Amino acid sequence: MTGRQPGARGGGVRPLHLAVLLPAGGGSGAGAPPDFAVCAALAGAAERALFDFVLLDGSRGPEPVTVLHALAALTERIGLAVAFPAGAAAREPYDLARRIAVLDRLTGGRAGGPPGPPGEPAGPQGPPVAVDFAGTPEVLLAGRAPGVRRRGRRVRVLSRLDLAGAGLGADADAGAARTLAERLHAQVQGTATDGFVLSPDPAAGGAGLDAFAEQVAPLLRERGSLRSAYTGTTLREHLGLPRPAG
Amino acid sequence: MPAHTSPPSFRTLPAAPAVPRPGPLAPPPAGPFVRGRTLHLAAAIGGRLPQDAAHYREMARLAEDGGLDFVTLGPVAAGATGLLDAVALLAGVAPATDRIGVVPALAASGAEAADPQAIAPALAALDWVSRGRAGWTVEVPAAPAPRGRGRARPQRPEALWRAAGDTAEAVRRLCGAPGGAPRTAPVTVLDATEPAARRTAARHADLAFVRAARPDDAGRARAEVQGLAAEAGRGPEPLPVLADLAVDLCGGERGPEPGAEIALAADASGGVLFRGGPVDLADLIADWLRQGAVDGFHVRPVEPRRDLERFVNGTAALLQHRGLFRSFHPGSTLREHLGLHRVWTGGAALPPAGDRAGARAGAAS
Repeated sequence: MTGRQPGARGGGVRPLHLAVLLPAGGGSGAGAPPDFAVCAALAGAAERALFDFVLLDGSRGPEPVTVLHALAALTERIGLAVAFPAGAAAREPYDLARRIAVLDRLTGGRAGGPPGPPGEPAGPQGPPVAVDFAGTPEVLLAGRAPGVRRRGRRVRVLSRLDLAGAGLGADADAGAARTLAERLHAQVQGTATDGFVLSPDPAAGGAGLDAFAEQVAPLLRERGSLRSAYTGTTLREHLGLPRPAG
Repeated sequence: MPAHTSPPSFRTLPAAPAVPRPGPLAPPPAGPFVRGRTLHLAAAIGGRLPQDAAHYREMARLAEDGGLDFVTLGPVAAGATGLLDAVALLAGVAPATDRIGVVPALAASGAEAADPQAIAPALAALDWVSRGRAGWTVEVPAAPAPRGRGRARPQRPEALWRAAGDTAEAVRRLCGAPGGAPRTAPVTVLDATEPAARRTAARHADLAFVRAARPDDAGRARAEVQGLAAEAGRGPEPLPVLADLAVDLCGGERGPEPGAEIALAADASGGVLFRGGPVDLADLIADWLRQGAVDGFHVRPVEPRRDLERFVNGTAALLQHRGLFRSFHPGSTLREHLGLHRVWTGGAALPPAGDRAGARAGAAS
């Protein structure tokens, strides 16, 4: 396995991993968080589109692990992750890690979160997948522009993609979707990144992913970089990550 | 959920699994009121053994179909589980239900207590994912069991209850924290059985449980808590008191033969146990309600699946048929179910004297 990830989709095409950042934290304009129904609709759409995971920003909005438990009840396969931006670390990291381990156990291995302390008993996927904006996690949440990728079969680097500016939508022409699909596919094949965390247009509410799922995802599947079915049950399997040793 | 439910054949309740609830029937003969009082019913969906998340969802849906106000979930098991696991499991119940309240039990004082800074965000999130259906029962650790058989478990000191009250108050304030639209705090439930707990319940609880084997005792506890609430400056909003009862519905019906009295027995954990049939339990509930002893019942099924099914399809359905219990949820939030629309903001502000007198008079009636 040189450069090929486990679970790579045939023909030497590198798999493209997708996540969606849920807007539970509300917009920058503060105010009340959106209705839970918006999060629920986005998580359902992301699972139908076979995304790897949904992501909550732990620094804002309702307490994230509780929200992920609720989303777990509405989904079956998609991963459920929380991450904290730099400077907004969880107040009780040990307690958070333990609660994410409970989520992992109850969901059969679908959880991800800040790297936990060592020595926790292994769950359904080994430890929950370590997801962070910095450091050396298993899933590194990078900025918007793909930078120099850290290579390795133990890390997935995901770049942020704002859907609000992606030019998709009912009245967009099919060319916008094709251009975007080609760009995303090329960035992953060129090893600039391993995938993308989509940030839906807050104005679109629960329908924020629909255009991407309907117009872009099929083109990525045609190119062989996006899965056409979940082949595993755990987040670690979705991401093609090995279990950490020990 | 069914808008109307007709009674199954009460004397021949089927064994598990649940039968589909029978179809519509003529409307109940009267509204769900006895002397202006709404009957509240709630059930625990935990048990001795931890179950998977799907089990709790199924139990909560069953309770919701029966029109119950809320379900509670206690600490799932000792040892490896965490303090907020009941919140996590009920967060999984919330999207699978529409109306029923979700009320985890959380330790609020003693060595095992969770920090208000941890409880409040989790409860606020539970309230968010359930759209206003969250509450919590403020748990105080049980006193150690005494040595020797048959000796009563000692009561817990008032300081433990006061500490739990402080936690409840802190949680209430944190849940109403600035940064969002005004939110109502999750409903606070406290066991007011022990006299030392009653002042704390009166100050901090939105709803109280009382474990009592006789309606007179329950009624006295209820009057005392509500009287103390009025003294503490609580406004005229009600403080419902629910009898807390372990129920074992495996037995055959006893009534209505003359002289056959439905009796409750103290159980080993300091609680009260009902053993009998679903119709007997409905008779007991109707009787206590008629006497004005309590505002409702919180039942703890001894055998979670069997007893909850029998309670919902037998007891609750019969109470609905008799017009003593509503057959649907008229509101959408737990506060609406309980008639607690207005938020109690703590004992700081004294309402006008007239309101206090009214509340006291109401408590005494």
